[in-house]
Amino acid sequence: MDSFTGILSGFAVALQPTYLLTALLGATVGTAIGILPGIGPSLAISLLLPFTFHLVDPIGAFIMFGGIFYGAMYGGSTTTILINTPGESSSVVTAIDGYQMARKGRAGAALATSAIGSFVAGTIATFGLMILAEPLVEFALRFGPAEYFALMVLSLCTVTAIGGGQPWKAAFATLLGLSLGMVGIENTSGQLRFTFGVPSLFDGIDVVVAAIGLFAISEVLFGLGNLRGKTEPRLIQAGSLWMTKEEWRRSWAPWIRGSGAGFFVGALPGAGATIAAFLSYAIERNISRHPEKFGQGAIEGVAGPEAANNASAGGALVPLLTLGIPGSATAAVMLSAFQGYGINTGPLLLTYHPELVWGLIASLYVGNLMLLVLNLPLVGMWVKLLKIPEALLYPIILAFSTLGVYSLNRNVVDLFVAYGIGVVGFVLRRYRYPLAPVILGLVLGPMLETEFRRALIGSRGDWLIFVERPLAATILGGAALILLAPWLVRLMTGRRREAGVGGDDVQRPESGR
Amino acid sequence: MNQAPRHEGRAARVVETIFTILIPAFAIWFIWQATMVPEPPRNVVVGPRTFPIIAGVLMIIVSIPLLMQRLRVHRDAASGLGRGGGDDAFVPGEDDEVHVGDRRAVVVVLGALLSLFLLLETLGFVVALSLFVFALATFFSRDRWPRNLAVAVVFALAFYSLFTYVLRIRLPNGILEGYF
Repeated sequence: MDSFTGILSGFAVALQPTYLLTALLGATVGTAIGILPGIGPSLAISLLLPFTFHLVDPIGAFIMFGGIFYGAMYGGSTTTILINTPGESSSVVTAIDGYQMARKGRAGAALATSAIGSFVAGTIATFGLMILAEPLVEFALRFGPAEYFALMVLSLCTVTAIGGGQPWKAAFATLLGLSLGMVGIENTSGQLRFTFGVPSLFDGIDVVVAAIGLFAISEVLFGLGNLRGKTEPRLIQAGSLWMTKEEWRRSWAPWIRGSGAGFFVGALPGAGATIAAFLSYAIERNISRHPEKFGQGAIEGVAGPEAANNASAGGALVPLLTLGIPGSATAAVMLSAFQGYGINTGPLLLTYHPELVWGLIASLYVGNLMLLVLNLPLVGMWVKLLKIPEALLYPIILAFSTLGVYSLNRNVVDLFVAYGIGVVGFVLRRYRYPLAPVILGLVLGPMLETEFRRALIGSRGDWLIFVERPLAATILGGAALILLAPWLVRLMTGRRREAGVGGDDVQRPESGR
Repeated sequence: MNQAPRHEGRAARVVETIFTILIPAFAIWFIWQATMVPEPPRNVVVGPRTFPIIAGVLMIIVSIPLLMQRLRVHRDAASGLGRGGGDDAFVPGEDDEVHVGDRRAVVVVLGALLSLFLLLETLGFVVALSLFVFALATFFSRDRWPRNLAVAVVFALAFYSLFTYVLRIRLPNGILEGYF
């Protein structure tokens, strides 16, 4: 089946009324969580997992998750532009010029260029995913355990080196995630590890439990811990959503460039939407003829990053669907959802579940169109969400999290595990340790160990297998290079920085909220 | 976003250093626990101990530069240098919400959540969740208690019904068992 017949069959699935409805539901929920500061796509998908397991089949669930993933990227920009608080960490960079545009009375134009740019980017990224899926799967079918092991190492190295901003802290976060992933019955030998005789831990720490602990509990602690003495955010009226001819002319090139950069960064295992947005901002400022206008309401600084963070969501689905390797916290939670449905991920996903993969891709086109309609003409409706008092919103997030965690296994122990992880997450975030690598490590840990041991069993204990297979060696070499990249960059830019050119950093922490 | 770097007090610096010291301590404990995992009787290439030990060793290695960073911070503070933070300046941190203005609020939230988890099965979901949402919301917005009470009860009832009747997940209903 080539991509064309594949996508046709996908539309036959995605256009069924039930799936149209789940796509709309996903897009709506996604936009809402994008608008609400503090709840990100990975947390939203974790919270919804207990529902989807009981209500919809895997196709419906993934169509919904796709809508949430794309929708969060759309919604994040609205909050950022109108109240100068990022709705998502991936919209942090949009705040710089978006809020300035809003103050100058161009809030409507900023919202429009974000939404249309997100649409362009989402469509381009979905197209990229569509044409890349088949060839990548063909390629990946030749991978052995050594190659998979190398790819996962690459993913963990990327998230360590550039995902967190502070490599050593990110490295600890990754290792902590890996060690949490070792709790429970070990895959190959069946030995119990780190369970301390608690039966609920035999199956390991559920990704949903960890994600809710890390993202929900720690987020609420920061949210309510800073509530007192906080001034009411000033909401800027959106006004007319019309873009002038000049604004159109200045937007389309950043949309295309942002889409390309975002898709590429998103497809890289370990780098996510935040980095994509910052990269796009840096590109736009560097090629602009008026870089001095950036920071004072340059529409390019909104169009590019908002396109990039959307495209990165499409890019992140590439390694997830073709290799079964998640590149971000959100993709990691989606991978655990596949496992929860008993679906084997990896290159054979497309062979065994073509209707799921193509249906998801087709529904992303449809969902993207829904999101454009939801976010542009209906933006006034969404803004009302920002009026929900935080004193009520945060306790409800915790109550909802409690329901989500408990209903997984109907077990109180899971709640205490989430509580413990939440406290650790709070401390980590307080000291600027990134949280997304913990989730990635937790999900990748068991897979990493299984492939590692499979490779060594295949080679009869010869550790050289990881360097003797050219592909595995190349990937591991790439991983090493990425780990060393920050030092290399610093060596090269060190002198420039001392001369006072510093401060224009590209990367920002991927907090994975 | 472009705030001046906040200078942290001595106490905050010490607490962060204690946290950093806990990292190698945790790693050593982790390795020690890993060595107690029984090896399977068959002679395998890589046993269940190998991976945890590798992770633990890497954690100890990573803790060295982290501890050195803390050492620099303390030295800079002692010599009056305002560099603060001591963080790698390669990337600016997300400053907006890594600080907590109201420590009492954190303690209250953690206490409320712990009580919720402890009392959940005894009181049942409807009562426990209503109480939790009402109490916590009212602590933070005292004058709006009637609104908070209404929202809390509606939320708990709505989601209990959703789980019980639509999703068919049985949730314990403690003291209300038998009523609905």
